[in-house]
Amino acid sequence: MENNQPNQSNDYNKVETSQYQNQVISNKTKSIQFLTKQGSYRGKGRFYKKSYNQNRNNDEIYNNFEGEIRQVNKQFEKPRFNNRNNFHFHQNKHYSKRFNPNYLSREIYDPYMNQMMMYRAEMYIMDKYKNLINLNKNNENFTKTLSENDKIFIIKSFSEEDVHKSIKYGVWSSTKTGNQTLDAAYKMAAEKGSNVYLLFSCNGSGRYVGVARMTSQVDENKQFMYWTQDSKWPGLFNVEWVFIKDVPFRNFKHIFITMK
Amino acid sequence: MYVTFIRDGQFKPISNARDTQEVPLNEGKTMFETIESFAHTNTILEHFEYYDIRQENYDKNFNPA
Repeated sequence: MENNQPNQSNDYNKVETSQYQNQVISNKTKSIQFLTKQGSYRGKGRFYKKSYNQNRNNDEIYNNFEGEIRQVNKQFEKPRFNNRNNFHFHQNKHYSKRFNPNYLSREIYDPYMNQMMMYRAEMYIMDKYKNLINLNKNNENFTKTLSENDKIFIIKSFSEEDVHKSIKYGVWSSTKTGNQTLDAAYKMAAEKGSNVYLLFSCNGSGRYVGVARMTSQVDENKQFMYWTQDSKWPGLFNVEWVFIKDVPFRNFKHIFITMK
Repeated sequence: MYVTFIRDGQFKPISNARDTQEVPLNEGKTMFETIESFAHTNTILEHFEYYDIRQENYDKNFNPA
């Protein structure tokens, strides 16, 4: 009991190490209680925001999987930073979004995860889509085969899933008016022995997905079952893909056209 | 969210083009050349496993045939 009352001694310089440690630990526990009390204000928005920002800036404390509060010395940990400041975060954003459940979490982040996801995707395509492996290589001298009567259209799809179906089944369909224009263009081109090319891009993605060639007229009676919005896309026509690669819009900024 | 009103007959970069809009041949040729020569890092094929799994789940739940 005498050891637990250090302040009674007159010599302040003669403080034992054990007492000092006890003091530090008590301060830490106080800070933890303070933070947890702030967390209890979750129902009230204004207070919650304040405490949330304070917790985020504090690197020492974070939650376990089980919800316990754990405390870690900085010396024994690897240097941690924001995911957004990490180089790999921007490089391979796609893989991590889809497959990595810890995409935005701050605690667990493995930069080599994205690389492994890329290998996995490659292996999957080697197994199941063997005709698409050398597609870009086989069409290397594509622009030399273009003739004067060819026609080129731009196509914007609402989702990436529809483009996946069109690559898988070799099929596309647009709206009613869009199908009419494409059908008329195909008939005009087929008389002269030339082709109609389609430049695909998804809305909001800021890039072109690939290039395809029309190989049939539009059948208005047919309807494809796997589109994301079934009733909006009546009719079908066949398509053959030429390029499948993502090209961002910033490569085409010098090209201007008159809007429709 | 932002909304832009683009009137017809305006002179705009090609990234603003709409669905089923025709591109003139010279511009289209330059576009194809850039697409050919572009060294790509990403393709849509990376997401194929994800969408195949989605399609299987759709067939199980909504498609009786």
